[in-house]
This record gives sequence, C-alpha cells and structure tokens, in this order.
Amino acid sequence: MLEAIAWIGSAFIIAAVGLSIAGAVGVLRFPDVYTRIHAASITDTGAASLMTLGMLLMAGLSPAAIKLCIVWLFIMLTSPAAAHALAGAAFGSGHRPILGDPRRPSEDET
Amino acid sequence: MIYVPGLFIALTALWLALSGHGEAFMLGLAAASVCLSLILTMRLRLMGREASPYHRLAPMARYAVWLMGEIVKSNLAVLHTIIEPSARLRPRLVALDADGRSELATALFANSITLTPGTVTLEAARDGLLVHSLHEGADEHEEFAPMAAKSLLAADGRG
Repeated sequence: MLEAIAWIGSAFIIAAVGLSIAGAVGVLRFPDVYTRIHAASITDTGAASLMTLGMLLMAGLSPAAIKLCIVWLFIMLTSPAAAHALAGAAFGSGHRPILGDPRRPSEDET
Repeated sequence: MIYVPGLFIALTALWLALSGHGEAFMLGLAAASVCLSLILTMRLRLMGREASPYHRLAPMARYAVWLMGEIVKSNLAVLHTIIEPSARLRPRLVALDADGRSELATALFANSITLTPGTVTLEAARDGLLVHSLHEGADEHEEFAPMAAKSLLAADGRG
C-alpha cells in the first residue's frame, strides 16, 4: 500500500517535470517579456504544486510533510511578488507589451 | 492584548513542527526564541487586528480552495497555448477598477491575478489595477468579475 502511494508520488513528480519543460518551452516560444512571464508562471504554480504533492505522498505522515506544506505556502506567497516585480519593473522602465496578434503586429496596436 | 496568546501558540506550533526536538535544552531555546519574537513584534507595534486577521481565516481558506481550482484551469489553458502550434496569442492590457477596496483586498486581488498563469498585474494602485493578459476574453471585465467579487468577500467581508 505504502509502496503504491510512493509510486503515485513519483508519477506526480514526473508530471511536474513535464510542466517545467513546457514552461521553459513557453519562455522560449513567446514573443516578449510579459507573455514569457505567463509561461514561467506555469513552472511557478503548476509544476511546484505537483512536485510538492508528489513529495508529500512519498514522505507520508512525518515532520517532513509539515515542512513541505510550509515550503509550498511560501512558494505560493512569494512567486506572485517576484512575477509582479519583474512585470512592474519592465513596464515602469517603458518597455511596452506587444498587443493583439503578434504575427500581425501593426493591426491593433494602441 | 488578545493577539499575544494567539501569536505565542502559532510560533510554538511552528517551532515544534519545524524542529521535532523534545530535549529540555532545545525546548529552552525554543521558549527563548518565541519570547524574543513576541517582544520584537510588540516593540515594532505589529500586533493588532490588521496583522492577525483571525476573523478572516475561514473566508480566506474558502477563497484559497477556489483559487486553486482557477490556477489549475488557467495552467491548462496556458499549457495548451504553449504546446499547440496553431494556438494564437492575443495579449492585451486590461484596466480594472478598485471599487473602494481596502489595501488588503487590493493586494489579495492583485496577487491572485499574478498567481494565475495567463494574467499578471503590472501596476497596483489605490484607484485600480493594470493587468496584462495572454488570451483574448469575450468581455474583459466579465472575465475578472468572479475573482474580484470573491477576493473582496474574502478580505473585506462584503461582496
């Protein structure tokens, strides 16, 4: 039984690795800093949560589980602050986002 | 000061959960560090209703559960945009009104928007938020309305 739960935990961690790779691919594919932040936030939220969930299942009922919950809580509190600081710094320094469909940039730029 | 025992219990529970030690010497260090934290908190005048919003714990917990669902949904939406070659990006800026929210409610709303993949808060001020969004919504204000209402209810207790 415990063995099976640990295997399910491993599956969660592999899914988290997949999400991290998808986030990295998005960072490379998306056109400007603001859209890239959206891609990176997949790694921040989805991958980090799945990774923690997987480790929780592998840790079982132990002090490590409480620490994992606290780690997850801190990630959820700090990652929006970091993303907002990055986006706010880019916007505040005059970097304008690409709006509308990036493949037809002249269409509805405002 | 009703908040002193609350913070004392919270700090002690946190120490026990993080250390797991039970020897007398370690417990003595724990008592010392908890007392030091309490004294510093009082000296900095951080103790109070705003810093310890116990009365908002239950609505905040309900909001957190709802927000987790939203994060899963928007994770899938952004993931689809990344791995689907034909998916179209239509980034746009949305200005949202503050609607007379408290600072706590504005912070909660702005952070919820940033935490949800596909939307990020560029500027958060007293009079409103400026949000960058990855996808074209049907109606831009309609899209954020549920989160605006729920975060206001969780932080300020009104809808």
